[in-house]
Amino acid sequence: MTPMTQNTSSKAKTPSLKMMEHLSKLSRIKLSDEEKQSFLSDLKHILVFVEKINEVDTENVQPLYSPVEAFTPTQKDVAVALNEQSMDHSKIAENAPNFQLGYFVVPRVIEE
Amino acid sequence: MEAKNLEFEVVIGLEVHAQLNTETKLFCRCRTSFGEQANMNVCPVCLGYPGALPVLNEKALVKAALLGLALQGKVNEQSLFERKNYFYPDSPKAYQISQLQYPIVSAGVLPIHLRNKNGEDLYSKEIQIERVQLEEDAGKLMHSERSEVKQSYVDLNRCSTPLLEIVSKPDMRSAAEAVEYFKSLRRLLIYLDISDGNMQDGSMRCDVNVSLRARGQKALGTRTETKNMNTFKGIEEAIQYEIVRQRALLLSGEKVIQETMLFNSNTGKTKPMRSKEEAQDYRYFPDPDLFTVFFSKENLQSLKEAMPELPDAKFHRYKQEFLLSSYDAALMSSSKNLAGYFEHASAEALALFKEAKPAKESSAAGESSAAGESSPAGESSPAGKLQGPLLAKRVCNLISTELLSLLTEVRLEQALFPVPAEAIGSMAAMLEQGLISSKMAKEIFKALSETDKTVEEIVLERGLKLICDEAALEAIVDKVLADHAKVAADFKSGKAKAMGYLIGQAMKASKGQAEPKLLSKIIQDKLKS
Repeated sequence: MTPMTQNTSSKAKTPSLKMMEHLSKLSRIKLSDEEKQSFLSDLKHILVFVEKINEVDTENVQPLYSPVEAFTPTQKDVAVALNEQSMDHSKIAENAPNFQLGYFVVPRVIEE
Repeated sequence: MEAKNLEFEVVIGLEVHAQLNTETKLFCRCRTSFGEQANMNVCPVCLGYPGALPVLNEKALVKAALLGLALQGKVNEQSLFERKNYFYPDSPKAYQISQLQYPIVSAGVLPIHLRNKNGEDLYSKEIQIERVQLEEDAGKLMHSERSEVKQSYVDLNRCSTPLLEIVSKPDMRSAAEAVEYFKSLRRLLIYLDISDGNMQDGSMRCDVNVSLRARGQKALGTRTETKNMNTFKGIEEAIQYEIVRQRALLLSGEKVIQETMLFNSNTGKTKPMRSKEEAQDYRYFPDPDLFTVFFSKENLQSLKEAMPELPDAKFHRYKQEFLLSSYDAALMSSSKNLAGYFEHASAEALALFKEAKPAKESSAAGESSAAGESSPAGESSPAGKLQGPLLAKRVCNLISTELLSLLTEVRLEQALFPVPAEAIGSMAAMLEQGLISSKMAKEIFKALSETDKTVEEIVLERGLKLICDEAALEAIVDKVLADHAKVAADFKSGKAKAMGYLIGQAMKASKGQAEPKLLSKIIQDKLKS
């Protein structure tokens, strides 16, 4: 397979507090200042380890996307019987923070 | 109106999203049915419950490959699904399964034909396709009209239904080209039964990338992306507006900012989406729940062999085989159902004409081709060879003048024709044989669409047949000339206009059923003798 887009992550940025804040925002995880410091130090260590891996010459090695040597299975385009397929709304409600009148209810989001 | 851009060249690329018309979703066997009660077509997989595993829909993969073939593209034996990560309530997994580095189709081409308002050919060009990828759709959000309602409502029925994203190269140079490209792509998707192409329900929508550059400049200018348009008019207007806006910026020495726009169809203007604090950062990575996708060369080969004739091929064949004008050929090939109807009716017309011809060899053949005044073949058609085109042209005329006005797009999609194709074929044959006039054809068509009767029954019942019998016409003419002896004398003394009056009277006497060419020939002969 030849990729249509190239991964351009050969030179990773040095982790900074600003990067930690960016990551925290992207992953919707609130971090205290202390946590930011501690994760920052973890992240630096992780990157050192990854840099080590980067030293290996992979010039003629195909990228490996899964350790399983198989192609993804497919299923026929046939719907399962309605009663099996459709989830009981009471079950959905148990697993959702707010489920009313058949809808998931979330804080108002609207794009102008 | 196209904006004048003498100093700038417009560069447009489209990203089209088309919903596949599969029965089930892309990675689970929930139905894709539209218009259900909210959250009825959902399961642990498409709700993104922990531990639920996606399994690829085989049909969706086949349809993607089929489009790749139709676009003469490179259908990849191996492709890969990746996760596009973002948080938004329309996506319960917090990522969309999509394709990035290895799409199912890389490269392709779609020819488009531009015509002016009168349907005359302007030019044709090929739009290169960058890629076609499979991905899942997101759910639907509903917001109250009242801004004090601090909640939004989420329906995940559409979540994870299969989409094809078709990305063009920036090959279009005007709004008209972009709209034509979108239309051609939609036609292809419907032809191949890949998508229902229903724009109202959002089955097809597109993002438009527009930029300007100085004429002659190679490098692309800064582009904006206008999101989520689902009408031809919207696409056209949004592009026109962006061209004018960007041009004004560039002329005043300012810069175009690369940003995402939304088009407001009420104002006809685009405006930037609220700029996100964070630059888009989707952190794509291969989805560990899915392995590499494999589509074998054998599968591809059998798809290729089963490929139906595509709209563009039909368009060219209609021009060559039936000598239709570009306008007619485009119209007849515009929908799979209409094309089928047209071909069926034309074949029927030819069969009926051939069947009838031996009996009336001498009387009809010569007259008839001359009667085809609008036919491209002219009058001296060697019988047989050009009969096909002449009849097809008549069928085409009947379809465009009578049938299409009675046909809504929905009825066309469902092939609910008000009049069977055989009947159109039969009328075309009768017209060509000079048995009925086009006025009679109109009446027969109306009766056909309102009753269950056949053409023959209507013709018999209403006496809708041209009188081609020379003796019968001569009798009528003799009476008219006797009744209007003075007018006939006027003609003989040089008043040429009198002829028209006499023909009119004779036609009236025949109750409009006289074969016009034969009638005027008889009158002329009689007056000149």
